[in-house]
Amino acid sequence: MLEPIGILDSTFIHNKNIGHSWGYGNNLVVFPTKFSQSTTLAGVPCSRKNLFMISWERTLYNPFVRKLVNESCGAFIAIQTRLGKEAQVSVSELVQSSHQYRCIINACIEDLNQAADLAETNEATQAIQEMSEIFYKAELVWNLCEIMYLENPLGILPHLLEWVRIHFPNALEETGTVLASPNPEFHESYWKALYGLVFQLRIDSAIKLLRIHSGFQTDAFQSAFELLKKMPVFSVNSPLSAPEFTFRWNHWKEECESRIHAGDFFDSQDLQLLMEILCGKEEAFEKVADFFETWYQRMITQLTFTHPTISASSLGDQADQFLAAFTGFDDLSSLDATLLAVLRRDTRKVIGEMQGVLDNSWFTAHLADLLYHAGALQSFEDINSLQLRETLLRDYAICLFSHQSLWSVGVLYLDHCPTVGSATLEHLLTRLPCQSELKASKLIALAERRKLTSVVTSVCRVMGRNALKNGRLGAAVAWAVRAQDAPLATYAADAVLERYLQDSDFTSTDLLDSLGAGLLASDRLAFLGKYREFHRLYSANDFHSAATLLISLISSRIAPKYFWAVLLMDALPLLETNPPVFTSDQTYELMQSLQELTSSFQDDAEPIPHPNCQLNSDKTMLITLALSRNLAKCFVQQTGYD
Amino acid sequence: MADRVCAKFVSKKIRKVRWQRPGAFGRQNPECFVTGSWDDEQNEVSFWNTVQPNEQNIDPVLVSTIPVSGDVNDIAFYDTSTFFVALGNGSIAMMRIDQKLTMISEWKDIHHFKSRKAPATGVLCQSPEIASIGEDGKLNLMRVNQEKPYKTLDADSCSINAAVFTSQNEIFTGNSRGMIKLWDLRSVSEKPILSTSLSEDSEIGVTSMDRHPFQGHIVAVGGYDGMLTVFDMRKAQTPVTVMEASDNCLNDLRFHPERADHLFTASESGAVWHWVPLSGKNPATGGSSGNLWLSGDLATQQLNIKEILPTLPLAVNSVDVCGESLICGGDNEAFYYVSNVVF
Repeated sequence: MLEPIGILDSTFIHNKNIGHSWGYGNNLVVFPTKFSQSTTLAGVPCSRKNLFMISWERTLYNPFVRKLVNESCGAFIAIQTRLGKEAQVSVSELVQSSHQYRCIINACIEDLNQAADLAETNEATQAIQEMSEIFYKAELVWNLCEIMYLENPLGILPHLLEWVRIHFPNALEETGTVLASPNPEFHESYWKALYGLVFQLRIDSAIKLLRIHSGFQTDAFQSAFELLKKMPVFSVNSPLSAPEFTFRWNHWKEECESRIHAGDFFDSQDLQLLMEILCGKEEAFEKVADFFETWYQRMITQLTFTHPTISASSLGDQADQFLAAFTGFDDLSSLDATLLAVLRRDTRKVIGEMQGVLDNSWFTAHLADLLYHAGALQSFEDINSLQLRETLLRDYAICLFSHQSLWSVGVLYLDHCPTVGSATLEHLLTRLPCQSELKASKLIALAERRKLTSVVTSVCRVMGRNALKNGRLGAAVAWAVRAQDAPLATYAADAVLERYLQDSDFTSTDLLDSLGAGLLASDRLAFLGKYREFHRLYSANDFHSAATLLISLISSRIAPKYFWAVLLMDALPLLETNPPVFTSDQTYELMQSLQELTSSFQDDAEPIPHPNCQLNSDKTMLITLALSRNLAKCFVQQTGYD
Repeated sequence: MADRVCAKFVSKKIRKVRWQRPGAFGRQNPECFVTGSWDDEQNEVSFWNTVQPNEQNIDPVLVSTIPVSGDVNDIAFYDTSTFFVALGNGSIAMMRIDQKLTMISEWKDIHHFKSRKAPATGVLCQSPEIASIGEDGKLNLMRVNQEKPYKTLDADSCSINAAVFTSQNEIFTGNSRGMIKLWDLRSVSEKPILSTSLSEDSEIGVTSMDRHPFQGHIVAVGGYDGMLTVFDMRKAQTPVTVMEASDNCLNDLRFHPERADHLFTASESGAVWHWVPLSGKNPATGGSSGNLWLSGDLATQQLNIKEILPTLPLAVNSVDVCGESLICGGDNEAFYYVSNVVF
């Protein structure tokens, strides 16, 4: 089924060594490398070479199988919610859930079969059919597990027989063909169909088939008919207790044998064989061995006629014998190996086999979860049942996370991994690509509900960075505030200031004016907010407040130094007012900052974002002049008061 | 009578569901609806029919599908057969329902950042006007036969998440930080007529909006925190009613198009709610003073919340209702069709 794929890159031709690194879920990165002589494991990547990411499809990503993923998620969550409420879920509830899972698998098989019929190419049909077959086998195993581990009834055989009936409907189909033929009793499969019905204890149908035989009125047929009718059946809903049943069974069997000995069926070889089957004779089963497709079919049928009340614990040994006789252990298919493991009650082997056969852990994760809650999952020295369940659930979740869209389902499974779930989720969520604010807000909501603050911060940061890159300064500020990320906030605020210098106008005023407490995310942002407020006050002609604010911005040193020149230039018109708005003390403050700026200018090699920040001699002169004039006005005013 | 619910798994996360409104205004139930998917390698817009030849089966049937590039962020009907789709690649697509879906035209990349495309987050129609909003904070105005938007407003410095027409010439927008603004389309200035905040600490973003079907000045706004806020545009500075709808983001909200006292909401926590007016206390509707949604704090006491579905494990992204039929869908890749909502 696997085909080799090639990567076209010249570096691989010249270089025989390929380094690799595993990603999360189903992806792998390969790159040309040179393995150094001393270390054999870690390769050192060559410089300037391409990395190739290889990822592969999983059955789960098929559109028809995605329904299974989503539906089963609902069933899974239902169990966990019930457990959360009641601490202990009854076995019957678990069996019900198990039924639900099987229904979901069956629906998926049906969808796949429909799709296979509609597929356009033969290859596509074949691929879908293969997938459908895998799910059929999975359901077969699941059903057996359900009987063996969850229901675990006292009389197990009727349940197993039911399992065979469901999965091997060919006896009924064959009967159908026989009945549809013009002369059923001479149809080549007449007896085969009859035996098939008896094998599955479909006695009523068998009798019906027997009735249409022209020899039905003969003694032999009548005798067989009577025995069939009298046959005690140990059924799922039987009111009989096991000892009572055994008593009747033995009695009936004796009667059968005595009639065989009496030669009741001497006339008809076929009837004779039927009676011998009813008596559970090994030789008889050997004769009809070809009628069984599988060893377990034969085992369950034969046991029905030899040990109808066999206990579940002896099934393992029986299975060994029947399997050995049927196919031998040499080339055991994985289905056979799994079924054998189920019958031997070796849960670990069951999980191991299924994990090996399927390309995802949907099956094992859900089954292990059910078995764990039923207390049927074995613990081992190296891993206890709790860890086993958790590992499988986590594995499944990671597989979902490697799909573009199914990650949201994965989140729910990690919620039920008590020890590693939260950490894994944190790790995976921060690495999820986020192309839109919608997805970002969903991730944030998810993380907030699970108290994963680092994820919230990280998503906000990434979005903030993206906004900066996209030239959306306001949005960048908003994300920085949300992340409470001071460096990002500073960076974004600087960008806004820079744009102000360029355009002499603020961008994102709607945002800046509504930030409120958000301004405290960083000093620079706080300055930006205050500076914006200065402009508002100024344009509202509230010169006194504007002047006081300006002074506080400079004296508190909250303003970045590169911006001081701009602030001083902003002070210029205020200095020219009469009566003065700056007091003498405030004027001194401005003078001091001007002094500081001019003296430190040479040695301080801070980059200047915009020519407006440059304090040239003309500007210095203007400001100095204005400052001294304002000081003079202050003195005059003060003397007037005095 | 119990609600009849049909679930259908579609193998794509559903972002938007919208009924195709029946041609004649009346009590008649709708037959067809449109769904749009998001967050997948290949997203699509699909057209479904609920009317079956076989009465037993109420499963909607897929009529046709159009693949689109980018998330389907919004779907809005222009008339009974034409609708617009806001896409994650910054384009607005115009589609029409005939026998099947057809793509008529597309306004490409009308939402963009400096050097890349910006997701369009919504589209709204008030014939002949069509408006689109996006993460780039722009509000584009278009007409059906024009190749380009005839007007673009730089409406917001953050992402605009939801918008509605409150009258022929006015659009109400809400952004990701809870700022809401009212725009006059005739105005020459680039400033909104009005600008306010959803709540005092304006951190809670707007996620969804719908306008009262008969009284356009009444607008319900859903927030990230699950709050439902009702504004009266005639005094829009402050909200009239605030109600807690859910503990988690309100992804979609819809007034019933005929019974405007009924409201439907879908939330990120997976709940779909039907807000039912308590009949006894219900004041006569029609007169604006008697309107249920404008009765302030009383509203919570006059409304009952009914769960349409048992809470789903994943977010429900969209809900729509028409006649007695409701449809909703979300991140569990399924939509749910309720054919007889009980009022």
